[in-house]
Amino acid sequence: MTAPSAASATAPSSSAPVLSVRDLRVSFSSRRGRAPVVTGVDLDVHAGETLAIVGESGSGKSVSMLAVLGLLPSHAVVEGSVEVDGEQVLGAGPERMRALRGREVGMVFQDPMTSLNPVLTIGRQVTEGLEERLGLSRRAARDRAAELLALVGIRDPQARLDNYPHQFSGGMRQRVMIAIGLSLDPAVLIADEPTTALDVTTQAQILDLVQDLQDRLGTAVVWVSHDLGVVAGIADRVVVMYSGEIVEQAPVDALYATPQHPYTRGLLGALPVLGERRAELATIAGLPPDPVARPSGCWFAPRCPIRAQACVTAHPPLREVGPGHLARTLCEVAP
Amino acid sequence: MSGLLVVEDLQVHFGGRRGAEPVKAVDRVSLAVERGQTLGLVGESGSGKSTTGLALLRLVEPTGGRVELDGIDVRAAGRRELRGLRRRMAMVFQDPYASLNPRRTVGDSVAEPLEVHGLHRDDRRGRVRELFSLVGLADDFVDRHPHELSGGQRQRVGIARALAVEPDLLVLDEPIASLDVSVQAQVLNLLVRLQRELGLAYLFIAHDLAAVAHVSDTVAVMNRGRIVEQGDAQEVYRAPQHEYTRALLAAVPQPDPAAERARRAERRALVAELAQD
Amino acid sequence: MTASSATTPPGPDSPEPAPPPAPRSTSREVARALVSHKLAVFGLVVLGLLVVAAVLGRTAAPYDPNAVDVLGRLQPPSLEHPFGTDDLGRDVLSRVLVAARLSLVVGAIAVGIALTVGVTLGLVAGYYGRWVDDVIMRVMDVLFAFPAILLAIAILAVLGPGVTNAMIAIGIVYTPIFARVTRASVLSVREEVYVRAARSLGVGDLRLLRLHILPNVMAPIIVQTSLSLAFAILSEAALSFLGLGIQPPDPSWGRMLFEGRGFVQQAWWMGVFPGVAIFVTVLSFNVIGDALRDALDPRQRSAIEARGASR
Repeated sequence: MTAPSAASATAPSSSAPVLSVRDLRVSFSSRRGRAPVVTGVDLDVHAGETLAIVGESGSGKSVSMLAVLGLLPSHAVVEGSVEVDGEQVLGAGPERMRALRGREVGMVFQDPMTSLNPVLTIGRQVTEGLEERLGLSRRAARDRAAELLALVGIRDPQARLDNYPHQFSGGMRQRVMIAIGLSLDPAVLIADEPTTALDVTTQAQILDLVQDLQDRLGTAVVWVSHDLGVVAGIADRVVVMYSGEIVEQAPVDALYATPQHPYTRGLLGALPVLGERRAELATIAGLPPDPVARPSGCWFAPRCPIRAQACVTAHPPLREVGPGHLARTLCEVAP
Repeated sequence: MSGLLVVEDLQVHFGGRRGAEPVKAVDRVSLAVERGQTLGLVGESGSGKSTTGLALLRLVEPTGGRVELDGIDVRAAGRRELRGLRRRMAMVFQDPYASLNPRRTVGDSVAEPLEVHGLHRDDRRGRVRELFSLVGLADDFVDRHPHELSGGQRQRVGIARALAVEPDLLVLDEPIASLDVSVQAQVLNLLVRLQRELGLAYLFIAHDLAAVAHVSDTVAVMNRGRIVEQGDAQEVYRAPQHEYTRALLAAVPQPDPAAERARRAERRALVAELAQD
Repeated sequence: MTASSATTPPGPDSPEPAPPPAPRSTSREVARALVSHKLAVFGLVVLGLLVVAAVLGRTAAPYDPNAVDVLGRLQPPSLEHPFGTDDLGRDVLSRVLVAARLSLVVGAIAVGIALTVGVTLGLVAGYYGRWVDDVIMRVMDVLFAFPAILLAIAILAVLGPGVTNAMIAIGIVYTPIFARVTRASVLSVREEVYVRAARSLGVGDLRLLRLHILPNVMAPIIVQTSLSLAFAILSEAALSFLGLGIQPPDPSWGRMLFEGRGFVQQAWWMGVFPGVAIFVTVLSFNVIGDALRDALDPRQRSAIEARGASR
C-alpha cells in the first residue's frame, strides 16, 4: 500500500522535512468491528512550504492531523511513524506530546467561536503559553503578545490584550488563534479548516495573512481543507485523500492542470466556476465506502467512470505519474 | 415591479425597546423574482439574506414593506390565507439534518404537507414515492429515518418535501452549504433540472458566489441589511459596479493556482479597502 | 494499463440504492443501557418482583393480611412467618406483599396525574410563551415553594384522608416538576429547524405540538417519570405513616412503619421489613431513572455530533 520511499512524499527541496509521517494508520473500535479510518498515509512537509490536504467527509484528513498531535480519544488506535524535526513522536508519552504541542507543532482549528476560552482575556490566553513554555516574565510575555497580535494584523494590540473573545469578530478571533499557534515559534503549523467558518472576504484576509507569515517566519504549514479554491491559492503541494488513504499527490500547478486520479478529476469537475453558466456540473455517483467493509481492489472503483476489470482485483499502489506527482491508479490519462 | 414575487422596501427590525437602537437585519430591501426564473441573493454572514427569506414566508414577521406573491399581499394575509400562501411558496433549509424531524421517517416528513393541505387523498403513498423519484431517491428510502441517510440524501428529502405542496416559488436558504463538494454538484444539477421540468421560480440564498452564478438569472448582493447591487447575473459578475461586490468577487478563491497568484495583489488591495473589523 | 469501459459506471442521476435498514435506535439503546448497568438490572429485577406481587395481590400472600391471631402475636421471623407477625398476630410478609400492590398503584396513578397535567401545562407554557408562560409558571412556582409533604398534607386537610385523595394530592404536588422539565425542553425544541420547516409548510400549532414537539421532548419526561415514581411512593408512605393515605385495615408500608414504632425493641421485624421494602423500591426507581437518563441523553448528544460530522 505504501510507495517505495524514493518515489513517495519528498518534495524537490533538499532540506530534511520538518514533519515526516510514514504509514500512519488510525482505527476506531466501533460496535460493528474495527473501523480503519486512516490506512497508511505518508507525508513530508518542509520548512517554508505549504502542504494542503484535501478531502471530503470520511476521507480521514482531520483524523490524520489529530493523530499527529496526539489529540485523538483513547479508544483510537494509532500506528505508524511521525517524526518532528527528526524525532519520533508517535507513542511518546503525554509529557512529550504536551511539550510538542505549540512549541514544535502549532495548531489552528476550524471554529474560532469555540476555540477561545470566553472568560479569559485574549492577552491572558496568548501570554499563558509564553509564560509557561518559554519561561518569560509577565511583562515580557505581555510585550511579546502585543507583538504577535500586531503581526497578525490586529490594530491597537496593547489595548486589545485586555479584551475578551466576545469583543472580537470571527475573523479577528481566528487571527488570534493564528497568533497563539505561532507564539512559540513552531517549526510547523497545522491548520484544520481554519477559514471554513469565516466569510469570504475575511477568509481572503486570513489566507493572505498566513502566506505573509510563512514568507516572514519560514514556518511549514499543513492546511487541511475541503475547498479546492482555497487550496489553489495557498498550497505549494497538494495531497488528496479518499477513504483514509492518499489517492493523489502533486505540486499544486500539476494537480489542477493534469489531475490523474478520477476522484480528483471528479472533485474539480464538480466545482461551479464563475463565468460559466448552466452547464451541468460533473458529479461523482455513489458514496464513499464504509470503513468497516471496504471493497477489494481500488476503493474508488465502484464510483469510477473509467473503471476496468483490473481495478476491482488489485488495490493500486501510489505510483509516480510525473515529477513529484503520485497517483493511486492503474489507468493512464492523456494530459 | 412585476413578477411572481415582488418585494418592496422590506424591513425586519429587531429590538429597539427601551430606547435602544433597533437592529435593522433587513433594511428596505426591494427585489423581484419572475416565474420560472432564479434570483440569487448573495451576501456574507450578517448581511440579512437569510432573514429576508424567512420574512417572505412570514416565519419571521416583517416590520415594514410590501411582499406580494402573484398579486396577493402576503403581509396582510390572515391565518387561513397564509396557509394557502404556504402552498405556493415553500422553503428548503440549509442544514438537511436539522430540518427533518429525527423521530419521523423521511416518508412521513414528505407526506406531512399532503396531509396538512388535504392533497392526494386517495394515494398519498404513491405521491410520496413519486416525489422521491423526482429528486432521485429510490423507493426504499421512504421508511428510513434521517440519521440513516447521507447529507446529500437528506437534502433531497428536504427538496421533495418542499415540492409536495406544488409551489410556484422555492426559497432556498443555503441549500448546499452543509454538503460535500461532490454532493453539492449533484444537488445543484437536481435543482436546475427541477426548475426546467416544473417551471419553478427560485430565490437562491447563498454566500457561495460560484454556486449562485451557476444557477441564477438575476443576482442581488446584500450587505448589512441592504441590497448594494442588483441585476442580470452575468452582468453583475462581469462588471460589478459597487465596491462591495467587487471586493466580494475578488475574494472568492478560484481553483486555478496561476490565476490565484496573479490576483493576490489585486485582491489584497480590494479587500483591505473594506472596513477593518 | 489503459482504461476500458468494460464495466458500466453508475449513472450520475440514477436513483441511489437505500442503505440497509439501521437497527431501531431508541428502544434498542434504552434496552442496551438498562441491561449493561449492573444497578439497573437490580432495579429492573426488583421492579419485576413488585409488579408480580402487585398483579397477584392477595393470592401471592401466604396468609390473609388482615387475619388477626392474638395468640401468635409478635412472633419473630420463622419458617411459618418469614417476616414474623405484628402486634395483632398478622403475618408481616403477607402485609408487605399486599401493601406493595397498593403502593405501586397509588404511585403510578399519582404520577400519571402529575404527568398528564404537568406535561400539558409545560407544552402550552413553553410553546406559546409570553403571558401564558408567565401565568402558568408562576402558579407552578407557588406549588414548588411548599415542601412536598406539607403541601400534600394541606391538600388532604381540605379533601379528607383516603387513598383516592392521596393520589390526587401527590399528583398535584408533583405536577410542577413535570411542567418545568417539559417547558425547558420545549423551549429548545421550539427553535429547531424542523419545527420551522413544518410551520413553513402550513402545519398548525396543534399538529406541531402533537407530532413534532412532544415526541422530541419525551426523553427528559421519561427520566422524570421514573424519578417521580420513587418520590411518589415515598410520599405515599409518609402520608400513610401519618394516617392520611391508605386507611387501615388495608395494609400500607407507611402505616406499618407507624405501627412498628412502639415495638422497636420487642419486635424489630414489624418496622424493618416494610422499611426495607420502601427503601428497595425507591432505590430501584431511582436507579432505573439514572440508567434511562444515561441511555437517552448521550444519544441526544451523539445525535448532535452526528449532525456536525455529516458534512
